[in-house]
Parts: sequence; structure tokens; C-alpha cells
Amino acid sequence: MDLAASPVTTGTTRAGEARGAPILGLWIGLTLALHLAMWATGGRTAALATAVEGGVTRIERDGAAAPSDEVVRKAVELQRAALPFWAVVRLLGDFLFEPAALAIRAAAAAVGFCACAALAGRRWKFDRAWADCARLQGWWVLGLAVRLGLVAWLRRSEEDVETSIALFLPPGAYPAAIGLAARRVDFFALLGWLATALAGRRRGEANLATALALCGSLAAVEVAARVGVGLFLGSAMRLALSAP
Amino acid sequence: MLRLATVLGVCILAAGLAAMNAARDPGAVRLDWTLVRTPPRKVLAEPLARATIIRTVTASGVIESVDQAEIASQIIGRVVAVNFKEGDPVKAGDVLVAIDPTDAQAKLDSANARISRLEAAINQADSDLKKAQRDADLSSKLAGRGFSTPTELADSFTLLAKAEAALAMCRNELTESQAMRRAGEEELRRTTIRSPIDGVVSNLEVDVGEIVIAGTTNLPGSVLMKVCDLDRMRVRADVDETDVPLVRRGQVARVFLQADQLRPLPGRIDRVSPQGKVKKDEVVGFETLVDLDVPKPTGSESDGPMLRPGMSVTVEVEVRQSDDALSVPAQAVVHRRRKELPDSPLIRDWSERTARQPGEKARDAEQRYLKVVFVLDGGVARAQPIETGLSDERRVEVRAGLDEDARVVVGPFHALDELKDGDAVLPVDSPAELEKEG
Repeated sequence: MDLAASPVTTGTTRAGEARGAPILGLWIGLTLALHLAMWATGGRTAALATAVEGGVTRIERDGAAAPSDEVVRKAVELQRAALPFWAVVRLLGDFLFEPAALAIRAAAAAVGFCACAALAGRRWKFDRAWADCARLQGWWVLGLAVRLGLVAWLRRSEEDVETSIALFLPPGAYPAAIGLAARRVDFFALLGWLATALAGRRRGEANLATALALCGSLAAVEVAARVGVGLFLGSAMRLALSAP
Repeated sequence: MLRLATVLGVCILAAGLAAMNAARDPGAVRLDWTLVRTPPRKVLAEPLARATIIRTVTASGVIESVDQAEIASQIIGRVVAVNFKEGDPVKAGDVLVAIDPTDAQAKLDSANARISRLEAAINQADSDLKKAQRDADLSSKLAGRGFSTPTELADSFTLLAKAEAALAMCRNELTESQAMRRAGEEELRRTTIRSPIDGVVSNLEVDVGEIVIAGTTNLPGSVLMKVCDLDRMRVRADVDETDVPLVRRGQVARVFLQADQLRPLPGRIDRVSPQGKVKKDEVVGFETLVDLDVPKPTGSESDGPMLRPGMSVTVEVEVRQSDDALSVPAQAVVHRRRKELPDSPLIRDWSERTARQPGEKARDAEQRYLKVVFVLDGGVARAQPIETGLSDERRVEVRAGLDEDARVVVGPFHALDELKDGDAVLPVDSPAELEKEG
């Protein structure tokens, strides 16, 4: 079946794009604003500075037996010199990858639903799917807003505020992979994927089971990707900052 | 209606999350970034045991004989005979060295001749005295009857006094000559040097034809030889000043010969010098005599090496003993800096037992070493500070810090060197199993 041959089935009109893009732009703008607020209030930099100073403290303590104070001083300087690097990594994450994640998620879901519909011989309209998926990214933005609101209200670091199933973990130490995965199973993300699946069913692009399976798969891919990147960056940061 | 329900649901969810987060302790959930677990280290573990621990003090020393004589000449002369060689056994009174007696004999002969002459002179003077006495008596009688002048009488008494003086002078010269004869006899006797004790000749430094000089204690080179009694030997050890307060007379000692370090000789402390001596590098040592209790050699191979003066030895003095002491193998006690140990209340309390020294910084206190043993706690090793008592080569007494039923890591050495608190360990029962497991 030639999908591009039928303007009825593809539905890639400029009006459809116009409906999805503005709302997605709004969410991206809100996301940027929320992250900006975190950076402006010092929440992000404080966490990074704490990590770096933790490394410095550890070096000063362990380095007391170093052959000379100069060696310790250089190691401390190296630790502090790493702060700008990790700040840039975090900036890229907050102001580039997180906003992009909204668009990628919406596009992936829209394409996925259209593909499912095409494979099943159902009618599909990409502009409607794109617009719905873009609109439903608001759940993720809402989750981010609630989390940052809790950070501000509870006056805690972001690591000590949970809007995921990690909230139900009993106190203790958990392997980083499990902890990171639990933190990625966010209640607002779940609601967002559920709403996306229901919207897909409502558009008639897939039945409920297929829609849930598609959204679950996309969510799993996202969680896996985020956990993998988180493990990599977290390990690298701990290696560089002499963190425990 | 659906939107209202959604908004309401979101509000409830946010409120619930806020409540749950507020009720949750910050930092209660921690992430363990150990991506790959280190496999448990195989270690040898043993329970604490009760044993006798003997603390020893070690000192180096040399063997010497209890009775030894340095043989030296009392006169100057040429050696005409050396009757023994080095290592020869001698008896007390045996002639060791003969010095040419010609001069001494001549002096003695001269003295004897002078004595004979003086004895004759005394006889003559005695006769003269008797005659003068008679003449004086006769002159006195004649003077009483008026037949001699007072001058004749005075002359007779003068002669009498002269005769008495001559006799006394001869007698004194005889006494002097007799003394010279005794000195000559002694000098002649000194030409024959005899052994004062039973023993063995050593350090023989003289040969026939050499001229010997009169020896004194501080005159090197005057000693002709030594005679040592090899049946009674002892050790002259040098105990370091840090150890000497523990060393007492009568303490048991074990003496290890350089020649045979597997069979220690039994000994006992005899004396500790009250005065120390500065050795190399400003180290002060105290001379300590150790009596050896060595049976006489039977001639069999089990006798061990024959003790010879000058042999190097190492002395182990048993200064303290603790019977039935709760102890661990010595290698199980390791030293760790305070900062290498976890910041637990137990470690903090233990490290604060020792008061900080004046001027010591908090950072320096972190550098202090604590004595710890690694105790098995489930599948991990826990660093446990201990207070130690006596120790010997094999075991260390544990005074505090450990339960009697604890199992401590005792090997292998590289594992004890690298082990940290919380490391996963897999205890094995025997060294053979440890080697087999690789």
C-alpha cells in the first residue's frame, strides 16, 4: 500500500501541523521555563556543587597522607575544574534533550499509531495523531511542574523528591539501575502514556490492547534509554568526582 | 465532566505525592553505584583461642667463658719456650711460656754471694765487738785503780761503739741483700709463666725468640695468650635501653647460636649492668650476662655445635607471660588509619579513647593508626578495633574489643593487607583449601 499516494489517508496538511506544533511549542516553552527556574534558583548548580565539594572533601581527607600538600592541592583543583564540564552536560540535558524528548515522544507515538493503523488497514490521519500526541505531552510537563513545585515547597534537593514508584521503595540502598528505572516510572508519565493510548483508540487507529502495547513499548524504550544514559553519566561523574 | 474529573484526579494525585514526599525522610533511599559486584574474597578464618603468650625481649651478644685468664708477662725478656699451641688443653700450674732466665739467675746469684759475704762480715764484726767490749771493761778497771788515763778510757769506749755500729751495719746490709735475693728469686720465678686455671689456650700471640714486655691491663699487645675454661660458658648480651626495664635477674632466656638457630640453648639472666653504653648511632645498650645451662658434650651428633668464645648469638629473654590468654594469631592484627575505617559510633568511641596530643590537629588524628582485626559478619568482613596485651611471634592477646565466639580473618596475608570494612568474604576452613580454591 502506497501511503503517500492517498492524501485522504496521509492527511499531512499544513493545518494539521499548525495544530500540533503550537501546543508542542507551548509545552517546550514551559519545560524550558521550569528548568530555567531551577537553574535560576540555584537548585541545579547547588546539586552539582555539592557533588564536586564532596569529591574535594574526600580528596582532602584521604590525601592527608599524600607525599606533599601540592599533590592534594592539584587534585582538589582538578575536582573543581570538573564543575563547568558537568554543568554544561546538565545544561544540555535540561535545555536541549528534555525539550527535544517531548517532540521525539510525540512524533514517535504519532508515527507508531499511524503505522499500526496502516498495518491493520484502518483509517489514519497523521495530523490528528500528531496533534493529540503533542497535546498530551502536557502530562510530562505537568509532572515536571509538580516535581519542581514539591522541591520548592519541601525545600529539598530534586533527588529527595519523587513523583514515581520510587516513592514506594522502603528506605535502603538499591542498585543504581533499579533506582534509576524506578524513578523513570513516573505517575504523570504513566498517565500521559495512558492518555496517549486512549487517544489513539479514540481516533480509531488501534484497539485498546494494541494502543496500550504500543505506548508501553515506547515507554519501555524511553525508560531503557534514560536509564542507560543515566548509568553512564552517573558512573562517569562518580569516577571523575571521587564520589562514593 | 471528564475534564473536571481529570483535573480533580490530578489535584488528588499531586496532593497525595506531596503528602507522601513530606512524610518520607530525605536520603532514605540511596543508589548503590557499584555496577559490578566484586566477588567475595576467599579468606582463612579462625575463632579466638586461649593460649599461653610469652613476651620476649631480643638482644644480640657473644659467647664467652665464665673463667678466662689473659696471660701476660711481668718482666721483660726473650721467650725461650712456648709449651702449648692454640687450642691445647692446659691444667692449672702448667708452664705456658718460659722467658730467658739468665739475667734473673745472675741477679739471684749476685744476691746470694753478697749474703755470704755479709754473713762473714757479721762474724768478723761480732768478734771485733767482743774484743772492744773486753778492752773497754779492762780500761774501766784500770782507770778505777788509776793506771790508765781518762783519754785511754774514752778511746776504749769509742772503739766499742764503732764495733757495735759495724755489726749493726753488716746486719742491715744482710737484711737488704736477703730482700734482694727474694726479689731475684721472684724474678726468676717470673721467667716461667704458668696457667692459673684449667682450660684451653686461645688467642696465642707469642712465639719463641720474641721479646715480651711487662703487661698491664691497658697495654694492648702485652697479652701473650688467653686460657679459657670451656666447661662454663655464658653470654654477654647487649640489651637495648627500651627493653632493659623489663629484664630482671633470674629470668629465663633462650640463646640462639648463629651456627644453629634451630636448637636454642637454655639460659638465665645473671646480671644487668647498671651503666649503659652508647653504641653506634647514639643507641644505648646495657651489658647483660646470661648464664648458660649447657650439658657437657657427650661426643654424639645430638650435642650440637661446640660452644666457643666469641660466637655470635641472639638472646631471647622471657620477660612476661600470660597464661590462658584470649588471643588471635599475630597476623590477624592489622593497622588501619582512622580515616580508612567507617565513621561508626564504635570506631569513633574507640579512636577517642586516646586523648589527642598537645598541638595535634584534627586532620592528624585522622592519620592515627588503630589496631583492628577483621571479624566475619555474615558474608562480609568488619573492621573491629581491639585492645591488645602481650604478644609473641605467633599470637596476640586480645584484652578488649572482641567477643569470645567471634571468628577473625587470619589469612592470606595479601588479603589482610588489602581488606576493607564491608568487603565481601568467603571463609574457608584450611590453608590447603585456600590454595586449592586459588
